[in-house]
Amino acid sequence: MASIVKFDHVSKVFGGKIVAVNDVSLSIAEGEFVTLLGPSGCGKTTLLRMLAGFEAPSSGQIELAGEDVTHLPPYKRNVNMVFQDYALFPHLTIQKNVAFGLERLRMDREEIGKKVRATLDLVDLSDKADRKPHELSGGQRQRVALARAIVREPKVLLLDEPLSALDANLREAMQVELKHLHERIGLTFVMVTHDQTEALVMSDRTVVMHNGAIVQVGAPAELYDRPATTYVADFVGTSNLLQGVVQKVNGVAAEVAVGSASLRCTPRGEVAAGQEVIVGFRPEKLRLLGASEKPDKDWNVFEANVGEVLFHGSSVRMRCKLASGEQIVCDMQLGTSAAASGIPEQGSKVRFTMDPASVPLFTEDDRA
Amino acid sequence: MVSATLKERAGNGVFGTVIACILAYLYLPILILVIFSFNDSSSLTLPLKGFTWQWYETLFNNSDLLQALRNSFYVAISATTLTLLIGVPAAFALDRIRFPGKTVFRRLVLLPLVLPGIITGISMLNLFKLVGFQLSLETVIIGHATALISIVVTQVFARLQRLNRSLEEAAADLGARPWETFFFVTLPNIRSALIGSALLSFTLSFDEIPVTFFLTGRDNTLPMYIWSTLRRGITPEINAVGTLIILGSLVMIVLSVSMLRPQDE
Repeated sequence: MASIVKFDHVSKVFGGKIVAVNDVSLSIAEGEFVTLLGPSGCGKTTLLRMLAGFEAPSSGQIELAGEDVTHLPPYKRNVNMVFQDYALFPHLTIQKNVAFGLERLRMDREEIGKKVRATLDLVDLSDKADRKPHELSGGQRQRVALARAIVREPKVLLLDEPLSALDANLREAMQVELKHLHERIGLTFVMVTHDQTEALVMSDRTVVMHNGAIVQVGAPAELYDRPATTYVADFVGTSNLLQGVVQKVNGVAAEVAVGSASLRCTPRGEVAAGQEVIVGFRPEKLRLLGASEKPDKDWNVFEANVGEVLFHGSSVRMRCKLASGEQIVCDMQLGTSAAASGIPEQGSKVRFTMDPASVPLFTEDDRA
Repeated sequence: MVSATLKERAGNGVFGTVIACILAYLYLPILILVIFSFNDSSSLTLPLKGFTWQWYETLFNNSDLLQALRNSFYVAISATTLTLLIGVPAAFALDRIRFPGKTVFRRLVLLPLVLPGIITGISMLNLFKLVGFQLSLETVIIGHATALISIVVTQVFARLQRLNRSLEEAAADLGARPWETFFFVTLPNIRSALIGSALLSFTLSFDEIPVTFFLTGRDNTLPMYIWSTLRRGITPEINAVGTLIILGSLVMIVLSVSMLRPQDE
């Protein structure tokens, strides 16, 4: 697929010293749903605003559909944005809000009317056409903002934290609705969010950013299973990150001493005996071993003391302590009923087992 | 229970009396003026003689007074226009542009509002004498505008500060050129502040005496005309003019207050 957006070594420095975006290169394919993910201040919004034309890069180049748009003003770019606060024009009706962008194209009146009606239909707001924005609920306003942006059929639709102002239930529904909309109209979506669930649920590809730079780009599953750094491991989902020292390396596996335990892990890069590393594993990769149960012979086995047990409905989260003092978190899926699943009691001693393939190793270089 | 309600009633009674006194203090003089403008007697003494439109008729046959009224409209409209032409761009500059001495400018632009009119009048008179300007209605307009600019700048600036900047970004994003964004998005959203402060400026300029006193040439504005005729005593005709001005001012003030109120949301 042809790339529709291309950031080429783009940087943005504010006030001569604050580096908001640091040498970002990224290519986005046509029709893709890409999420820029990171905590506030990581540069994701600035990157999006540069694509919209609200900020000019300090250096580097931005291409849109093969055209250099680096210094083009926003009104000359064929991209449209859904703003975090929606930015609906309060003095105009919903219909006029949606028509605004088409009127700027000097389009025929009848044509405008037709397109506005069709788009309002698409977001299921035809009956609200003559209302003013303040008469609508948050979710409805959100859909108006969406309609206003897609009615111009932009090359890329930009979404700046589009769901952050909605309450939890509505947000979940809108995640699905947006995803369906993307599939239906086939536009390229670029969304900014700080919510990792949102990124995982909605996007084809997620770009994890930290301190103005891209840390990792990948499909949701890839980011989750093979985080490139401890930062990604911790930000996308939850990870147990433990300090350890490599004991010996044999082939694809490495044995690492973590406190009093010894864990077999799968390093991605080169590691040598004696090296300090970080062992990372997801809470749900741990399996509880029954008292008489025999573990798989290649799997790791270690003991821990159960601290807090938090009931989540379909699962429980346990905070446990290794003999040497390290804290870990373990998620346990519940079976037919919570009582039948044998949730360990607080203070009890349990044995965990874990597949070495699901334990990545991070070296000092991966700490970002 | 009973004593509590009694106390409450007594309290309400006292409270009501106080309110009535304050209102009487504020509006009794005005009421008397209005009543005497319809009284069928040329002397301002009780008892009232009967109802008449006579004083309004003489008023509309008084060419000096009508000329003064025309002058007042000319001055108030011109001063308001001048004020908007200078004040609105100034408010935008304060809101949008970073320039050295901005804070000082912000404070200084407010100063004419708190200066007594007599000071503004004397100082401008000195200036106009210095540069050799003939005193006329135009010099009055310039004098009025100094104090009124403060009002326009304050009101429009306050509204601009509250204006959500992402609205303008959204407009640009939807293909609006800067001038389209200004006329189709920015202006409609600060419209009420513009109209409100313009109405307020108009009213203040229309009623103004001290600055006008120092800066006018041979032409008189309406308040000045009234003041000059007072030397021959209060006539019922003056009461009639007063009543009309009160009516006009009331309409303007109600309009401006409702315009300056933030829009629904």
